[in-house]
Amino acid sequence: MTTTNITISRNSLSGANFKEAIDLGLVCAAFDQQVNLIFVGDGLYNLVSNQSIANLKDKNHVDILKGIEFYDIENIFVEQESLCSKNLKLEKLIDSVEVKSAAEILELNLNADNLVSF
Amino acid sequence: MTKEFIILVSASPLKTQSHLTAIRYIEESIKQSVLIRAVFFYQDGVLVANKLSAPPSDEPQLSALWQDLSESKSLELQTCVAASYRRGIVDEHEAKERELLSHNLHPSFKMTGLGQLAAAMSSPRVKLVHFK
Repeated sequence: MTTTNITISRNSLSGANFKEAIDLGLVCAAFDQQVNLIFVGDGLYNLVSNQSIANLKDKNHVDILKGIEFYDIENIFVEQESLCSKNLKLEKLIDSVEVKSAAEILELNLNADNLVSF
Repeated sequence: MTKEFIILVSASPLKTQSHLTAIRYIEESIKQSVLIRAVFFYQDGVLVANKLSAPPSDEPQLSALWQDLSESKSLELQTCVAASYRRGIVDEHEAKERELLSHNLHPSFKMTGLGQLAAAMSSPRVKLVHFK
């Protein structure tokens, strides 16, 4: 089975970046690839659960991840060191994310077939 | 065993030098008998497929450089359809469909879905090289 790791390191304010990263993940999963979504650095802000965009006329990016496991993407990882450096608490993020250390993420990337970063 | 590459270009042609790097990389790979399985443009990379781009004559003519490469090496240049429409790169069909003023997809590029990229990535022997 092909493993594709998609690393997201930019925040949700960088336009269509997040959407296009997730779109690629969904299509790869549809092609029976094992897809790991890995959030590092500012990318973590995409996962903050109580974002309100009511007055911004923007689309709520976090909603894209709701029910993503039904599309065969079960692995959403956040980097431990990024959580600390952004002073973010895990409970502020959406459910179903798993914390991995930078070393563990390196290991994941070494074992993957494809690496794409956004 | 022959090596195979998929080239993914997601970088903006205006904000980076990545398109020139990718072109050189592909030329050198082919010289070294690497098979280029696919060249796929995603995110801001698709902007190079705008046939209405008219950079000053003393600046790199990226669309033309890609065209030369595609013709001389028989490579298909694939652009992601969703990323393209989002950025105002439209083919004739979509322009008609949405009643847009005109279409601007460069004839050397072909609109395809992300599925084309994903299918190539599923192949066990290929290596993805990402220019961003």
